Amino acid sequence: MKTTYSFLFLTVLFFPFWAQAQNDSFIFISENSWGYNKKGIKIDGAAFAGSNSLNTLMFTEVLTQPTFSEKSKTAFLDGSQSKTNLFASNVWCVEFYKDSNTHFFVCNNNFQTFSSEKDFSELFFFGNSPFRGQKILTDGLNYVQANTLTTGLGFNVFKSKKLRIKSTLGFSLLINYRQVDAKYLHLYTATDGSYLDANFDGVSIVEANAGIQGIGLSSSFRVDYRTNELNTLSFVANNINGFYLFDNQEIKIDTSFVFSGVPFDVFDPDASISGYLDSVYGETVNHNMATKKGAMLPTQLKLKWTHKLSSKSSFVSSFEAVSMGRFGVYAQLAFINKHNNRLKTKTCLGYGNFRGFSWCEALEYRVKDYSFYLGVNNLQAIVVPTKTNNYGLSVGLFKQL
Amino acid sequence: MKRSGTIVFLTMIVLCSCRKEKFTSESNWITPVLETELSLGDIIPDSLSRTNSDNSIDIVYETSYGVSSVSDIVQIPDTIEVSEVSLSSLTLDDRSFIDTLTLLELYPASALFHNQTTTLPGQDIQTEEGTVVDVTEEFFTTATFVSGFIDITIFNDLPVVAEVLEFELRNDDDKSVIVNGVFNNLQPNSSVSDSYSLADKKVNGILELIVKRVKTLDSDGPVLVDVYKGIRTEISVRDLKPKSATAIFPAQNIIDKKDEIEYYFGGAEFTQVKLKSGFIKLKVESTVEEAIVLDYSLPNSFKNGEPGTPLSKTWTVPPAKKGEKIFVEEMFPIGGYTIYFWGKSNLENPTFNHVYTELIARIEYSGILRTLSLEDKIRVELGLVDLIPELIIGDPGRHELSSNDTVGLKLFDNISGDLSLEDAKMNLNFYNSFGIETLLDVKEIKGQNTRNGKSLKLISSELLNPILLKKAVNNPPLVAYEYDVVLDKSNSNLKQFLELMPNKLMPEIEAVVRPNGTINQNDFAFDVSELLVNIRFEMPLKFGLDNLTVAVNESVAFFSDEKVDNIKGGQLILKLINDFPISGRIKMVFKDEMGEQLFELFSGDNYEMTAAEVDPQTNKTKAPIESELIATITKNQAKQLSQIKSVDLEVYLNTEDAKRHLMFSDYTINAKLISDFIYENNL
Repeated sequence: MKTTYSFLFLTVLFFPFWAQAQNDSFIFISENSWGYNKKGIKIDGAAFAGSNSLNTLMFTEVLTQPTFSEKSKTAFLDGSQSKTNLFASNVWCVEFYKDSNTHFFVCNNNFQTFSSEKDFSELFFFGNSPFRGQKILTDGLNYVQANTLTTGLGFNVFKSKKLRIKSTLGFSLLINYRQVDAKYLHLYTATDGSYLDANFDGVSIVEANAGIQGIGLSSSFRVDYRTNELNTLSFVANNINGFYLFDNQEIKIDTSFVFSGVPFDVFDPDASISGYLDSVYGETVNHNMATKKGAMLPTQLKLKWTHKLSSKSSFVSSFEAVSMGRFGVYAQLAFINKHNNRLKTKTCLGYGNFRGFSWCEALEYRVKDYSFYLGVNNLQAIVVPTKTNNYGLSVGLFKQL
Repeated sequence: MKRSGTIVFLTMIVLCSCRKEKFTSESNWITPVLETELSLGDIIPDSLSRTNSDNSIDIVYETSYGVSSVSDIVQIPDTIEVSEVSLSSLTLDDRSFIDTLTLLELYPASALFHNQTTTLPGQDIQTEEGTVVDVTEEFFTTATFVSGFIDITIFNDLPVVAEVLEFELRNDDDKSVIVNGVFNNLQPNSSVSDSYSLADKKVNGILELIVKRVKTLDSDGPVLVDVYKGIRTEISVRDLKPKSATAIFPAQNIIDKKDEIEYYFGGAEFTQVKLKSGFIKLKVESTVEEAIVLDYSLPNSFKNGEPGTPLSKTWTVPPAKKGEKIFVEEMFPIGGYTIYFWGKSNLENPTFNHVYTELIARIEYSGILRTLSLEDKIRVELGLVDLIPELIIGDPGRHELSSNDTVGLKLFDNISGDLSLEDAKMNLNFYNSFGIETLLDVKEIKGQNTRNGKSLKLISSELLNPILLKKAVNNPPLVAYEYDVVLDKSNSNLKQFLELMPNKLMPEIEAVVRPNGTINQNDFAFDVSELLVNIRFEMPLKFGLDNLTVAVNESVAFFSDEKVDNIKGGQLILKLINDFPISGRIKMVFKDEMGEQLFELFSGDNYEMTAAEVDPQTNKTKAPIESELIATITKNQAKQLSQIKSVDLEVYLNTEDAKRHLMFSDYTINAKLISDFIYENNL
């Protein structure tokens, strides 16, 4: 499987909600969705990569080096985690805010997520040779990659002093969609490499096709309930989606076999490895190939409590799950502080099983009709890159019209 | 500020969106690639080996050389006879018709004297009125004749003398006269007759007969008068050969042909051929408006199991439509028939190479009115084609033949080096299932090893004199004549001959067919007859090897997958488990599409498969021995993997000090090729 480490960020997927400025007119860092009512254009982008076991040095090396260094690789291999989870995304959006009720958007979202037993991921990334004489297994393997281009609009469903419900509805194109799931996999490599013992249980593979693979609808909604002047409870469901696939095949494999080499007759001029593999294994694969018509991409659910500490600062705690936890859960505590009418900052600490410990810093700076936004994840990765597991960068610009 | 802010933001976007062109990570995959188990059965096919009770093996190699069928030496040519005939022989039957002119019609007043006895006075009656006579049914509707006759006979049934009787017969439609004449002094109750030619005359079926004048004398005294009697005229036609006619034709033969087809067999004289297959080919083209029946037969033939039933076949060619042609074509199978080639009779010369045939083309009586003319034609192509003999009897003739062929000997294909044999035996089985004597003179048998260019003549006292191969005997069953010559190291240089490992045999053999003549032309040849030299080598598989080389070139498509380009190096591991008391070195030379060498693997003395140790008590190896040969694939070699299209595999085999060892059928070499590659993942 080819892994593209174009490190991406998930959270910006939800920027349309955060973009609702409050009365103080900060766009990117806000506690809730009340109050903003100005017309404007917003451009923002974010990239994020996180894992519970892959370290940030590896991510950096993907971006800046021709290959992994021994240091980053060893740090990964020496890790004591039982699983390897990985989530990477990048998102960019252009949004036009007509007023406080309605906005239009075009967003591109590219993401990959992977989860398996750690040993299996090591085998997956670095080959089976280090695992001679060992049976490497995983009780589950999940991999999804996709790129979606969505255009749509956001609007208020309900709006009162205590309760506000907002939603978006978009039309999406699905590109570069690939999905692999397995209930159980194992591979035993003989010490001398003379045979492989493999078991595939409940394996499903949907391979990517060239071009647009499908079309679909995606929607999000957010409910903010202000319990009192100081506290607000929020529930967010992002990227509820469904796609129709044009021409995708799903391969299902349930088999086990011992492979000890292609029986070969040196005196047979027609002997061919590919021919043998096609005849022995190709038939099994073909028999289990079916057309896949529909696909659903991971959905994020999030609960948030915002507590206003003062007129300038707030405390925010949140818990989120992607695909009901299949592709990760994450809890975060954040402190938001408005330093003056121009500058607002946010500091957060969090932990998730697809990103490990996370420390983020973000600031929004306003000048006249402009707002600038910069956010970074895991600044400490600069100092201890092999000890951290994620980083990200997000930027934004808003122009009031 | 506004502009600088925008620039900073866009720069950050670009930086964040930047993606390195190529990041790679390496993974190390070890996997079995190929496995094979080589036994002597793989190297020496079952057909070449014989396993003895102690599992030791003899190599037995057989090949044949010679004439394998009568069809290789005798071809019976196709013979097609073409007959084209017009209806010159067309005939119409002889027919006759009688018409009576009564006294009442001649002299109506005579009715007063009917059945009375009275004296009749003489009469002289002249008239131009005639009687219309319709002979369409009796004769024909119309006909124009090449030749033929009409006979007019007049009977005088009157009681008086007819002194003058003048008549005329003409076609009723155009009144054209066919015949006319005068008879005189025709006595009572007598008749007179005359014939007239119909050549070039047209005669219709409706005629008019005119008795133009009847002059009678007085009666001699009273006579009994019967007014219903008178002048009776009989008109007969005979020997009619029409130019054209519209008639109901009688049955008749229009072709009646008896032929002898002569064959030429290059000096051979055959008296009898039993056909395995073959056909009578018939092709007819006819404009005749009447059905033609063709009867074709070979009287001197019979069907297998039915003696006395000669080959015959009848076809009916349907009548052609007016102005059109009709075609009939058929191939009638005659396999299983025996045909005598002695012509019409075996009592008259020549009595060989002649086939007697009869062809009759005929019209059958149909009762239907047809119009036929001399313009009508029938063309018949008829003959025997594609004859494949099952048995030929006769005299093949004396022939002298010589052979200088080259026979491939696959036993030593792909092998070079030095082979030391313990023993060898060669059996030359001369086999003759023809009923023809042949004298064979083996001038020379030369073996050539084209790989090293060496050749050697097989020398033996057993081959010095010509060998007479007597006739096979067909009593039946057919019993072939066989003659065996056994060569071994006691009477020949066979051992040295085989140690040369020839892959070509070049026998030079002269043969005289029927050297001593034949009796009663009774030599024979069946289609299953063979004249062969069956060559059989037998060698106990006990040999010593000194760098014996087995070389195989194989096309390979193993590395055609594009992912091979991601291999950056590694090792190929060859694990060998060897039962044989033979050590071996292996060299793999990988070549590109043009046959140019890319690189070698396993080359050198370090890559040696170890020989298993032989137990001197049993002469068999004690236990298999394992060898592991590891070849490193460099980065540069890895880059060339995708160019590999073929591999030259060379195996150099040795026994310790070239000592001879007995080989056993349960010896095997288990070989497994394992790849241990560094694979580059592109991200």
